[in-house]
Parts: sequence; structure tokens; C-alpha cells
Amino acid sequence: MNYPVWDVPGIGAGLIVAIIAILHVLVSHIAVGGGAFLFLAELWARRQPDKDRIRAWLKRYVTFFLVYTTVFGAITGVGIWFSIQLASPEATSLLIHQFVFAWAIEWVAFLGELTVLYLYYYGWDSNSEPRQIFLAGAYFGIAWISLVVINGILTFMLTPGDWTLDNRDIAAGFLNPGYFSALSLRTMVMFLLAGLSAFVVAARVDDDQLKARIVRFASYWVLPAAVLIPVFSYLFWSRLPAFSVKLATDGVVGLAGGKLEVMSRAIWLAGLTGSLVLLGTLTFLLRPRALTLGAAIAMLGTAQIGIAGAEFFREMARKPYVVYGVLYSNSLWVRDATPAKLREPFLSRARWHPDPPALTRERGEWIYRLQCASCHTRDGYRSLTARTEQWTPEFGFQWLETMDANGVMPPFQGDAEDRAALVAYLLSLRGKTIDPTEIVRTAPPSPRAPSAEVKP
Amino acid sequence: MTDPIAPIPREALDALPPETTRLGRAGRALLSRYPVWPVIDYFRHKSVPQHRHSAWYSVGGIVLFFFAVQLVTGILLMVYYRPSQPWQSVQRIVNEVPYGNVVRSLHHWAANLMILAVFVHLFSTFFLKAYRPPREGTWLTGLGLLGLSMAFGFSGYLLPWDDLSFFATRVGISELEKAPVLGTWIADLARGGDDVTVDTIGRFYPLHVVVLPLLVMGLVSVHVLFVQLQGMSAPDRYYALPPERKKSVSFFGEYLFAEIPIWLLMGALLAFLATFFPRGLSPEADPTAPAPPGIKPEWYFLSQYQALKLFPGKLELVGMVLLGGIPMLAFALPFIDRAIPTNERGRTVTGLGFLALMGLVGMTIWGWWS
Amino acid sequence: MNAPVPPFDPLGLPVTSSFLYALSYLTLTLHFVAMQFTVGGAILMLLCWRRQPGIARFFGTGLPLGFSYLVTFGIPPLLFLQTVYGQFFYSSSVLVGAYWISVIPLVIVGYGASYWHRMNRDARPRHQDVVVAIIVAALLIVGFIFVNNLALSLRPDLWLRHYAAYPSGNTLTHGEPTLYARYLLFVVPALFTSGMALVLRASYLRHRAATTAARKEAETSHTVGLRAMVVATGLEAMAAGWFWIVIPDAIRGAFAEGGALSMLAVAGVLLGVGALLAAWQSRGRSGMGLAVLAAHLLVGAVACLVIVRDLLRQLYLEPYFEAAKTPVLPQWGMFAAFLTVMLIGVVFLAILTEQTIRGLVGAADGAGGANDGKPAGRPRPAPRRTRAGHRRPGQRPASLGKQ
Repeated sequence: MNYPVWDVPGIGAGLIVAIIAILHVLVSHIAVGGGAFLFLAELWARRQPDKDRIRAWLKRYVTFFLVYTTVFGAITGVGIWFSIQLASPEATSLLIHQFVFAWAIEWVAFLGELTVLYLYYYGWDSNSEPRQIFLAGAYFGIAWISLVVINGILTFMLTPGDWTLDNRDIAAGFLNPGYFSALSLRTMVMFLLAGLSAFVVAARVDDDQLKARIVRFASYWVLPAAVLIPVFSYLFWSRLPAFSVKLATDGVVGLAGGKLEVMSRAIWLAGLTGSLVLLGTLTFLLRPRALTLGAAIAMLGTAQIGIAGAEFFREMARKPYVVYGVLYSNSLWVRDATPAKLREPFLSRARWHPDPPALTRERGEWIYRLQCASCHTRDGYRSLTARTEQWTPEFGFQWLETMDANGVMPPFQGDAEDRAALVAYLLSLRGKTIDPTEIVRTAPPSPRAPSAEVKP
Repeated sequence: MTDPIAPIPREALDALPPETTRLGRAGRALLSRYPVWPVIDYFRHKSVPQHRHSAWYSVGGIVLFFFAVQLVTGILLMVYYRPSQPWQSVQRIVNEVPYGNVVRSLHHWAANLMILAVFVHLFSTFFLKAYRPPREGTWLTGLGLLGLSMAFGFSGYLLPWDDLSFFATRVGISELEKAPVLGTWIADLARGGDDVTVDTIGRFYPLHVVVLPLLVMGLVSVHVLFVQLQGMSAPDRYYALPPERKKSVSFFGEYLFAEIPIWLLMGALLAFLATFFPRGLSPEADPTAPAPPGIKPEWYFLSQYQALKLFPGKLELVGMVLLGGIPMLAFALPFIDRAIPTNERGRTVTGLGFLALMGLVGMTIWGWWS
Repeated sequence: MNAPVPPFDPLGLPVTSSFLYALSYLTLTLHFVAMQFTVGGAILMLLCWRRQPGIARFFGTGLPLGFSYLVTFGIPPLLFLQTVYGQFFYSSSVLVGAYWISVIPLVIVGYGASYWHRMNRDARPRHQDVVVAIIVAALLIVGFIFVNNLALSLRPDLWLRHYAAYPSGNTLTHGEPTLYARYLLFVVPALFTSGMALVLRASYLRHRAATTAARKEAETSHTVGLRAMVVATGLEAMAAGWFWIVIPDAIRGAFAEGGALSMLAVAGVLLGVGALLAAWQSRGRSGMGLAVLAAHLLVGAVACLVIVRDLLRQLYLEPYFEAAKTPVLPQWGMFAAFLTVMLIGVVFLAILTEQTIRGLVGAADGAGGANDGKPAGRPRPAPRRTRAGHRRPGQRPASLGKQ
């Protein structure tokens, strides 16, 4: 609550992060795995009798690769950073201050990755053979280091391990329980995507025989990875916090979701699309000359959908935190969530509001904005209008007090008047006019802490 | 092998793999029992023209793919759906049956995407002038299939018996009721009375799960058979090419293998929609309650619904006649635009078709926002 | 004071703030030089589109790389800015959130268009000037959004009213009098730097090429480059005058007091004028020495003004924050690891770049590749230039321009 909340109507800041991130994950994994592909393809091509022809194909791959990864990949990567600043400044600040030099090392890797790629590409004709192979290998090595770094920060958010705000143990936070399984998993995904991206360029090869050889070479990147990805996914799963596993396996009966909750559906989606990618690759392998650009792009699109499922799950698994056990999604520090502090009038602690009068709908709107809007929207993504459809004022008033009981929401911050104002605001979204004063007056005494209604 | 019913033709023996292989033996066993070589031979040589617009050929396959998904998910939903307790049984599917909400969402999304794909298919064949002789039959059966798809959508929409579906159906049928002469009669027949009741489900349910599937499967067979017999239509420019520049690919050798990944992507897309945009269930329908605000028909009826609003009061009849004229024109199209003796008329028709498409999209968007 | 400035992050500063400032100055200088080359290059491309196609082609070749390094060198300054001034920067970013996030699609469009132009300019020459205009527009808008956000981050007194009126971040900064002058101060030098790139190119062409056509192109390049630099100097002086009028009295007073702020500002101006003079004098010389000196003076000028800019920020934020008083919870080990990685990385890249560029130049000269026959695995001795991590604008594009 130290920062303003970016109140994006209908979409929500979180969904903007998710859209940029999901696009970025596909291209960034291609950027790294494609490096390994380039390296081995250089070696492979030079051992073939018709190496010039294969290298001419490889040059086309590199051109596609260079433009796609440096324009779309690099900028969406910066885009994630921009969007998390807006969606969760408090968490971004935490990650920046704890890992500033890890980010800086990541940046050095990024600078190296780009420069080496340019040297490789622009020196295509003038570089000697060993140098060209060395550059391809160096590109992959450096790009993979950038994954090694960012993976530590990403897994830290879900499984911070022994790291705490007091010990600030960067080694424990970085090499956290989820680190190695996630690193292996992502490395495999990279190889798989490198193969899929090679299909895209192979589709335009006219010579059926050459096409078949390239398709076979590319499929060696997809098939082993497709087998190993479930193995590493299981390892990653086994390192998840117990509550995340419980959430995903039990399912919470949501208003629209039904028995299989969205988190579980996201896993299902990732698994299903993985199988579809495997099927598509087998199709290419069975009849390489039939491979068309549309078919190859269809498989990349399928992989993109699978990534959406997997990354969505990884983000949802953190509920209700943004950094597990440390910081709630709405920027409330866990160490500040003591009963006494929680029950203080909310706006007296929050900074970013024009101090609207107590017990009004306007006050409710500011409470909504500063406490709810980092995850929910009024009537769009994770709509509060839909979620409060069955609410009566009394029910909402009581529910808010214990909304953290099922573990997927942070605790409510504020006193009874705040809750009443929020309920009045939320119900007004459906056109109901409710007087917050009336809710407070008629409410039964709080079941949790009867004395807490006394203002300090 | 004694008493061969069908002697294997010479060219079949030449084309088959050697008898030592498993496939060779199986092929000989089949051909010695059933005289299907001409069919197989036909498919072996079936080819798909390749030109600037050949990507549109995929859309028909995509429609079939969605229809297959509808059959499978529909059968799965029938396992738990009870027409006597419609809302309760759907609620059970959503909240209790394992994967029930996913199957239901898949069915919902595949239905919408199928109708969308049918429209895309219709307009692509329209603009490529694939309806012209000798392909009138394909065009007419295709139009029939569009009508059946929309009937599928309309009948299926009511089955969950929730607030939304009940009132949308009531609004929809009452529009039908205003049609001249037979309107009331047809509406009463559809509803089983003068209002939508559980009896309506008694009519819509068998229509949705027995009558329409049989009709669609029959008509699809004819439609696809026509395409097989006549081959795929190509633009005039393609026909005008000299033979050596007419590119084509073999249907079973290549084309199908390039289509499979596209169907896989469609499958992934369905799963994505079912995951992140599951179909909700609103409260059970209450016929006595006032209709909730903003009730509208499904999007594929919206353009007609919105267009009718342009004709208030007495004029409504005029609107109905005008709107009813559009499908009539569509049916008459292959007989109007035959590209004989010149293409002059064809260009006018293309222009009108473009207007129709703009009108359809525009009215739908307008209906959506209003 | 009614300013909702968030408290400093509970993790404190990772190292003493002076290190973070130093790193930030270094990388921000590189960012500005790359930014000025790209923005000015795109503008000059449009201006020279018809009459000096060689210049348009030169910048067309260089723009994608310019974009790339402009973004890459923009990352660390933003990182160190967030480490020291996060509580200001995050707040103002949210306040202009809708615009701030649109930087991403705008950069993708501009950057992608620069590649599209370069790859298609010969095959599809029609309407390429429209593509360049799109690049210019994207860059200028992005710059304006940046100036808005960073200007707002210095004015916590404006925040609350801004947020109460526009919680969706769907408006730009209101009520900051220096906004437009500030924007000009950042955009105008782009012409200066891209003009300098043309002067360097001219010098390179004279130095390398034997044909009369190349010599003629060198003359054109020098003339246009110098003209851009002179115009930029004049406009920048006017922008500075405007800025002087609209800044708060306290800050004007700080300039007048002397000290680091005014000395650096004067040094920056002198170095810039020096660069202009050296660039002017380099005309007609076959050696590249004077032009390279001019480029170095320019980088020096940018560095001085980068520090001036930060000192101004400190003055603006004085009532709210003092970096020196912020707790330091040290991460010296990580800092050392970073410095090591950066050193290794810079040396590694310098060696590789040197070798590859020599090969490219050799190939371009028709010498059949200067590196052939040499073992590529064993790098040659480190290049004479010690600051090989940054490139002088114009050098690489000059060599690429001949491809």
C-alpha cells in the first residue's frame, strides 16, 4: 500500500503482465534453444557433402531468428519489467533490491548475447569456419547463462526457501528449492522450441530430399525434449509449496469454473498441448515433404498455448502471494499482517487517496482500488461484479472479515466501516444503492475479535 | 486363395507393396474380397490445386474437425444430462462430474467456432466463385449445412435451462412468431405451446441429439461426395495457366499431412478457451421472473435481430420479407451468376457479397454493443 | 508536505550509493549516445531521403543496430535508477501507466520497422519513406513518454492530485513547467550526434575509398553532418534558454552558486563546442584522427550532461530523499561477481568484435578476408582502444554501409 495501484478497467494490470510474459516466454526460449540449434547445425552442415546448400538454409534460419529474437524477444523482455513495475511496484522493488547484481549480470549476458549474434550474422561470409562455430557456441553459452540467472529470480518468487526478509540470504533465495528442476525443465522446453522454430524455416525448402533431412534433424530436438519435459515437470511439482499442490489438486469450486479449477485446467492445457506438439512433429517426420509454413506455424502456435497454460499455473500457484510467504499479491507485507494492524482504518495507513469521507461509496471505491484492484477488475477479468452476484450486504460484510480463511485471498485490511464502505461500493456496481451506515448498525458482533471494533 | 470374389486388377498389383510386406498382404486380402480398387485408385490420384488462395481450402476441414469434437463431447454430455432435470443435471456436470466443466466448455466453444468457421467457409467459397456451375450442388448443400448448424446452436442453447438460455430462447422464438402466415404456427410447434416450458426441452433435446446430427451427417456426406467427385474448385486464373505451371499436391500424400497440424492447433485453441473462458451457468430459469436486462440472442443471430430493430412497428413485416430474401438469393446464386457469357455479372455479385459481409459484421458488432 | 512518497525498500541499498551512481552515469552515457544516433539518424534519413540517398542508406543500415544498443544500454541505467530512486520512479510510472506500457509496442513497431526497411528497401522501394516516418514517430513519442515519466518522478507534490483524477494512468504529466524544454534538451542533441556519425563516415570513406564516387559521397556526408551539428547547437542553446527560464528559482540559484553542477554544465558545453570544431576541421583530411577525437569529445560532453542531469534530480528531490542517508545492507560479494563478469564480458566482446570487424573490412576491401589462415581460436592481442565496450557511433555502420 506504499505505492499507487494501476487501476486498469476491464483487464487489470496482472493480465497485461501475463500477456506480455506469455509472448516473451516463447520467443526467449527459442532465443536460447535456437543458439544450441545453430551450434549443432553448423557442425552438422559442415560435415554434409552439400554443406553450402544447408548453410544457405541455415542463413535463412538465422535471419528469421535474429529479427524475431532481437526485436520481439528483447523488447517483450523489457516489457515484462515495465509491466511488473506497474502491476506490483512493491514486489519489483523487492526483487530489484535483493537481486540487483544478478540482474546486472543478466544484463551483461544479454549484451554479450546480442553482440555475439551480430558478429555471427554479419560476419557470415567473412568469418573463418572455426570462428563461426565458436561464435555460435558462445552465443548459446551466454544465452543460457541469462536463463541460469533469471531462473533464480523467477523460482524465488514461488519457492523462496530459507530466504527471509531478515536474513536476506541471497544464496538461499537464488538456489531455492525449485531452482534446479525449473532450470532443467526450461532447458528442455528451449530445445523443443528450437526444433519447432526450425520447422518454420524448413517449410520453405523446395528440394524434398533436403527438406526431409532438415526435418529429421529438427525433430531430434523435439522428440527427446518432449519425453523429458514431463519428468522435469514432475520434479518441479514435487518442490511446490504444499498449499499450491492442494489448490491445484483439490480444486476450489469457483463461481464459473466448476470442479476442475482454473489452476488445474492450466496444467491440463499444458499437458494436452505438449501431446499435440508431439503428434504434429510425428506427422512432419512421417511425411516431411508435406510440411507447409502454415503447419509449422500451427505447431509453434500450439506450443504458445501450452506455454500460456504452464506459465499461468506457475503464476497462480503463488496465490495469495506475489513472493511466497513474504508479500501478498496486493502488496501487503506478511510481517505487517498482524491482527492489530489489519484492523486499523485502512486509509489512515494507505497513502494514495484523496481521503474521501468515511462510510461512503467513494471511500469504498478507494478501498477497492488500493486493496482489490491489483488482482480483480470491476466487471472484466476476475470480475468482482460476478463474484459478488449472490451477495447480500450482511453476507459481504462478514465474508470480507474472514476472506483469507480459505487461503487464496490476502486478509482484509481495515475496520468495520471500511468493510461496509467496500460492500456498498461493490454492490453499487450492479446498480444497488446501499447505505454503509446501515450495514454497520445492523451487523451482528464480529465473530473473530469482538473488541477489535474499538478504534485505536 | 479359393473362390476369389474379385480378381485383383493388374495395375493394383503393380501399385501395391510386395507380398512379403505386411501392408502388401493386407492390401491383397482386402482387394480379393471387395472390389474397391477404383475407389482407392481415385484417391491415390486426387490432388489439391496450389495457388494464392489455397489456404482457404483448410477451412472446410476445420469445420469437420469442430463437428467431430461436437459429436464426441456431445455424447459425453449426454451421459449425465437429464432432460427432465435440465438445470440440475448441468449443474452436476459442472460441479461434480470429473472434467465435466471442461467437456461442457469444449462443447460450447467448439459450437461457436464451428459456426464461425462455417461462415468463413461460406464467404471464402463465395468470393472464390466456387458456387458456379458445375458446383451448384456443393453450394446448395453447404447452405443447408449452415442452416442446420444454426439450428444446432439454437436448440442446444436452451438445454442448460438457465436464466440466460431461457430468456434468449423466448426472445428468439417470439421474433419467429412475428413472421407472416406461418409464424405463429411454427413458433407454437417449436415451443410446444404458447410459451417456452419444459415441454420445449422435450422437443429441442431429441432435435439436438438425434434429428440434427443425422441430417448433418447425411448432408455432409453428400457435400463431401460432391467435392470428391468434382475436385476442388480453383480460381479462374488457375484454370487459365498452362498445364506445366498448374501446381498441385497429392491429397493423401501431402495435403492431409499438412492439415493435421492445423487441426491440432484448433484443438489447442479449444482447450485454451475452455481453460481460461469456461462456460458459466447462471441461476435456474424462472419463467415468472422478469427477463434480466440485456438479454440477446447468440452472436450468430445478432445481425438479423439487430436488423429487424431497424423496422419498428408495422414495418417489421417489411424487414422480415427483406431479411428472408437474403437466404433466398443465396440459394439462387449459382443460377444467377454463371459467368456466362461474360464475367460482368460476376463482378456485381462480388460487390454485393462484399456489402452483405460488411452488413453482417457491422450489424453483429452493433448488436453486441447496443 | 502532502506528498505520498513511499518509504525506501526494506532491503536498503546493496552497495554505497556512489557505486550505483557511477555505473548509472557510465551506462546512461552509452544509452544516450546510441539513442541520439538512432533518433537523429532516423530524422536525417527523412530529411535526406530525396537529395542524399547515400546518407539515407547509411542510416538505414545502421538503425537496427542503433535500436538494439539503445535498448540494451538503456537497461542498466533504469536498473540502477530503480535501486536508488525506486520509490519515485515506480510511483510516477503508475501515474502515467497506460502511456508507460505503450512504450513497449511503440518500440517494437519502430525497431521492427527499421529491420523491415533494411531488408526490403531494395526489393520494395515504394513507400519506404513512410516506413521511416513511422520509425521517427515511434521514437519521438517514446522519448516524450520517458521525459514525462521522469519529470513527474521529480514532483511528488503533483502526484496525489494526478492519481485521484486519473487512477488508470491514462494521462501524461500536468503542471510541470519544464516538460517541453526538457524534452527538447534531450531530443535536439540527437541531430548533433547523428551529424557526428556522418562526419565520422565521411572521414572513414576518405580514409578507405579510392573511387571518386566515394570521395564525393564523403563530401556530401561531411557537409550534411556538419550542418546537422550546427543546427543542433543553435537549437540546443535555445532549449537551454527556455529551460533556464522555467526551472524553479532554487535550482537556478544552485547553478549560479558554482560548484560541481555549473562546472560540469560548462564542461559539457565546452566539450560539445570542441567536438563541433574538431568535426569541422576534419574536413579534407585523409587521416581519421581528428574525426575520432571529435567523437570522443562528444561522448565526454554527453557524460558531463548526464551527471548534470542527475545532480538536478538530486536538487529536485532534496526535500524528500537523500541517498546518503539510506541504509546500506551490503552485497559486496555479488557486486564483485558482477564487476568480474562485466570485465570478462567486455574484454571477450572487444576481442571478438575487433576480429570480426577486421574480417568484414578485409572482405569489403576485396582482400579476401584479412583473417583467413589465422587460427580463430587464439585471439589476437587486445585492441588498442580500451573502451571497446562502447562503440563510437558511425564506425560499424560505416563498414556495414559498404556491404
